[in-house]
Amino acid sequence: MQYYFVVIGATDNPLYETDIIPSSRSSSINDPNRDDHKHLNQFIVHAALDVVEEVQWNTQAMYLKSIDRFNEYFVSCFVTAGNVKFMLLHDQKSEDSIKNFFNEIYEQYIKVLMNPFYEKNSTITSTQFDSRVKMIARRFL
Amino acid sequence: MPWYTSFKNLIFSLRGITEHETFDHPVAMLMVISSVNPDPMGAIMQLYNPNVPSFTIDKPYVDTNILRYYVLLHDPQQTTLEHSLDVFEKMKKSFGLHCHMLTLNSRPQTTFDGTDSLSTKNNTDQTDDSIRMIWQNELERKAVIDHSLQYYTQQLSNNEQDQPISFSPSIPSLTRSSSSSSIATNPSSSSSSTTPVFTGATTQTFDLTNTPLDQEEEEENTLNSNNNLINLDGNLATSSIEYGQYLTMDHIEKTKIMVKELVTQSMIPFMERNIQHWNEQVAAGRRGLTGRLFGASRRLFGTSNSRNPSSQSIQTIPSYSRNLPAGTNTLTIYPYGAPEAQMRKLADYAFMLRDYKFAQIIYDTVRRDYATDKAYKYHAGTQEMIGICFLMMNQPLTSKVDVDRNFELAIQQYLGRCQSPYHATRATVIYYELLKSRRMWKEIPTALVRMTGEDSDLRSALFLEQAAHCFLRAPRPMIRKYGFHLIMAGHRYAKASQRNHALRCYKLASLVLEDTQWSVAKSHVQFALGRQSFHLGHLEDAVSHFVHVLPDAKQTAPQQIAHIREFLFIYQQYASKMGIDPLKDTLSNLGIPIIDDKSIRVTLSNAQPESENQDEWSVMERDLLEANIEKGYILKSKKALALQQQDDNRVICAVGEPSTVRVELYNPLQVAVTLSEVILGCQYRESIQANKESLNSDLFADQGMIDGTLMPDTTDTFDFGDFELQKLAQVSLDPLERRVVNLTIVPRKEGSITIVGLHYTFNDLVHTFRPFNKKGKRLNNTKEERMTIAYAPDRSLDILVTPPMPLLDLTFHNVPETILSGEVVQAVLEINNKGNKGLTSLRLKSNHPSFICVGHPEQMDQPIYDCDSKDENCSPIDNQIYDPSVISIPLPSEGDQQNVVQPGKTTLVPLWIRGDRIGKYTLKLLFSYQSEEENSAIAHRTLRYTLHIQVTPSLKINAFTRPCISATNEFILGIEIENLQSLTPFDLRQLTATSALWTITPLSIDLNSEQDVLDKTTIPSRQTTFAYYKIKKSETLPSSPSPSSPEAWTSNALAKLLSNNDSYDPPPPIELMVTKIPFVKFFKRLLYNNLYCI
Repeated sequence: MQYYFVVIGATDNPLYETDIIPSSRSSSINDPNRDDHKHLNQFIVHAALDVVEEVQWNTQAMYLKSIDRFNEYFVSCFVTAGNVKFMLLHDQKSEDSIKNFFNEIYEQYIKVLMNPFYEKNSTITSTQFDSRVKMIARRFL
Repeated sequence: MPWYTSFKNLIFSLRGITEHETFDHPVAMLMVISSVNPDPMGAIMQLYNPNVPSFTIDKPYVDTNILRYYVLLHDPQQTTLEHSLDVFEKMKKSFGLHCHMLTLNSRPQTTFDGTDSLSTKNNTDQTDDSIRMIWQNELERKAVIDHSLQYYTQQLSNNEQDQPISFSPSIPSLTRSSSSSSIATNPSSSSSSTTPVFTGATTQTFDLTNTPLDQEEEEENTLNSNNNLINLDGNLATSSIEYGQYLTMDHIEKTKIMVKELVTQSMIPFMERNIQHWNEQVAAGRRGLTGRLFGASRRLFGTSNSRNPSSQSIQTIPSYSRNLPAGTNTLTIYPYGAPEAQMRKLADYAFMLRDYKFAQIIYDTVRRDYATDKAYKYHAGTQEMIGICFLMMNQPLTSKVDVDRNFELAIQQYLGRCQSPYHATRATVIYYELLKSRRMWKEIPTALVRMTGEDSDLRSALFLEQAAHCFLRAPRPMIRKYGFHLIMAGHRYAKASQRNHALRCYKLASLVLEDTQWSVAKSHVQFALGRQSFHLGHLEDAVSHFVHVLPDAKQTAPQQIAHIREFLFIYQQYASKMGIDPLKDTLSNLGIPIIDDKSIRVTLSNAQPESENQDEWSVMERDLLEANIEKGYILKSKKALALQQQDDNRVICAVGEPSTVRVELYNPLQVAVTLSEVILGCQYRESIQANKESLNSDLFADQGMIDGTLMPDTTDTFDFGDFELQKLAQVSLDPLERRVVNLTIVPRKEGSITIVGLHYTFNDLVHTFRPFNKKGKRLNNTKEERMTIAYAPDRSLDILVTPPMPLLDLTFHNVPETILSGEVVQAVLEINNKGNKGLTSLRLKSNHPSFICVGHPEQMDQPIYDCDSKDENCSPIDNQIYDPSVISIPLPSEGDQQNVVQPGKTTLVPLWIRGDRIGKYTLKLLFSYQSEEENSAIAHRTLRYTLHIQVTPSLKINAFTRPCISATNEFILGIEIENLQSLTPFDLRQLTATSALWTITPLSIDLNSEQDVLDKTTIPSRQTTFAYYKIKKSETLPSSPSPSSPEAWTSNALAKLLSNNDSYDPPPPIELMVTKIPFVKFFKRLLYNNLYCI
């Protein structure tokens, strides 16, 4: 199982998507049917947005922890001040490392936001952001 | 939804005696005897024989201690009332209170003559329907079940001849007999689950034991018909058999009264007594700490063998039931006498009598015993019942989680340990219905999704769909969850090959995802929709769904290949079905390849490809137009026309002049695709005015492939009457390739041609037309425009076709990319007239006029700097102020025609480029020219040309003068020259002074000594030299100012200005004296100071 990380804009559109192969399980690269789950990942995360909208107003924290599950997958979420959501689909519960992961991603996301040429809620195409995210994922997941 | 309701009803209607719950165990039995029977008491005694084991259901877990209820049938046609009453009295005496006498007709009323039969017939007809309706449904269903059962048993016996078949406990119960159906209509307190009194097994017992009682009872009728049906091998025509045709409404009422009496007077008291009894005997001892301790010690230390096996707790019996999981033929049960079984029965009775709280406590108590005994089915059953009790209690729930947990465990165990999916399904449906009645929508999906395992796709699909709808009903509708569950439901429906359901689910879900950008999810849904539509034969829908799927760039290459292949296949099917030619008729909205509308350009053959900074260009065009009008090149009357044309920003093309449409195609797929028969779609109109409204390109979206005749002398150009179009036979696009396609269009008539789109055939199979929808520039003039995103109509695809015109084509030769600051390079401008008319009045406007100097064609071979003559010479120069950015380019005279370039002719004009300022420069050269003949449609044509030039730093020169002490009218000029280049040394070749007054001679350089000159004029990199020169007034000049001198002209002009005299005479030309100091024999480079005088 690989992790699926997605940044979702305030208008529910995905800004950035990536599949993350956890460093601990690099052997799963050769998993033959991993492409079949691409749409499933999107479905799960998209459906979980309903739960996020319910949970986000009941807490002060940005990190909402694991908010939804589907079969053996968990969905963790982090809501930024601009109502941009970071969602991570994972199959192992490790709240602390995911929290750290989200916090680092938040910093990277703010750097993207500070770019005057980046329009809010538009797709993040920055390759630097991409590589940073992968690096952070390697570090924490 | 009807399909779910019927599924639910089916689940609830299936029942049979199971070991772990007593709801389907008999509570009471009816013993029916007719008063005609010669020995009624004896027959009942025969029925009532507890020693005969087949008397009741022969299962160790079914309690034989049930209520017996005796019914005496009285048929007034056969016996007298007195006789029946007599028998009834006897029955009462011997059997106690549980007796009832029922009056029924079973024979035609023969006492009436045929004369009166008409009235009775009417009478019976009236009652017939209502009475028959009582049986109708049940009988039909029974017939269906019987039929399938018959079929099943036949099959089974064929397969397993040796295996004995035990019917009764395992088969879903046969229909309830007439009495029970009247209970169902009866508003008595018993729920329908309390009526398994009349299970088929009971009636079968009748059949087996009461063969002498072959009487006219309704039950017997039912049974007979049952037998008949079986004998008839499942003849389903049950409607032909009429039941109870001799009954009247009166009899029905009496039957109802009997049933009411049975329930209220006998059955409920019986159950209550039993509850009380068991509660005192069994349950009380088990409750509390001591009871549990006792139970534990009994289990630990008790010697099970010494006890009566019937009361011994857990047993394993062989069973051949069909409800058992395959491979097992034993059943773990508690015999009915065991305390655990009695507890369960107690709880079930309490539940039936609606004491849910008490039932729940008992269930909970006995659950622990089942858990310790590992009687999983019993355990699951009690878990389920505890949950139901909680939900049935008429009070708010204490803990939702507990209830959910109960059901979760029950379902897990039913599924896992017991492998009894039926019970799990039933528990889920019950749970779902209870939650629904409590409007707990948010809990439902969890419960339903639990039962969506792999074992039954159809059931999972049903439950997922229900779950999806519950998300919508939640207080805060969860639309995305709804969509997701619908998609899962659709997937399962598809697996269960319920295509219509699958299509419906996917369609609903696609509405949820419609406006989002979750592309992978979206295309998955579209793909599924396409496939289901195709399988259902909705080819058109399938095609349109596949069209959505195709351009999805995020799929993997193999998927994309599969999609394309499937799409082409479906489209072919569609085309052949609809009778359209896929190569001619258009499939609209095919998203491959992607064409960026903004990148579409129409250019004439002479234009440079790039065209940025439109605004700057148009300003230049306007300025040039003004200048041309001022100078008389263009008539003033044409100004408005020219301005209008410029505003329209249309491409102006003369008849017969090819222009090129540049379209950028992008293949978003990771699969190569081929486009064939690529041709533009164009529209001709007579008017030369620009289209006011933007063209509605949808109009053309459905037009088919266009046909033209091949031009005789070409291979790819087709004639369409008003214009000729180039057709590309094939364009193949590699994965993710971006390719520019140039298509030529040649107008044949004056007017306008609008380019509306592009025709092409995708992968040689699907013809499509892609309309162009180019927007003009963003409008920001008014407030409304600023507040919305408004675009001007675009006219760049609207070609204006004019009568034949000259067409200028330019080529620059010898233009360097980088020059040094101050360096002058000669370039050659090649002017080519590609048009059909002579070209004249060529004008040039540039944005950096100081960089460019255009010479006369005769000056082509002149060196850059004149270095032949060493002496001073004078040359007159025009002394007027003019705009240096607009100049006329002199064209060579040819024969009698002045300044005309004939069609197809080429001429060369010299051009000098000087590095005037340091930096990177884009020289924008705007040429305007006119036809030698008057052309009403157009004022002038323009051509834009861009040169890029980089000027690098070379020398830095500082100069100063100071008066000469030795002589008047002489000055010392000091020149400091610094080489800014880090590598290149410079040699000074010549110093030239140009002035009206002064001449120059060197002071510090000895021109005669070659070594000295070399030393002082060579500047190594990053070095500075310094030299002195003497300047003195030219002796040739007259000492007093002449009237033609600039000073005199200025004072005259000032005097005129003061006296308001508007007359203007141009300043006289000024005589400039050029003094040269050559340093080297062969000159290459020069720096000069230019002193301007006015």
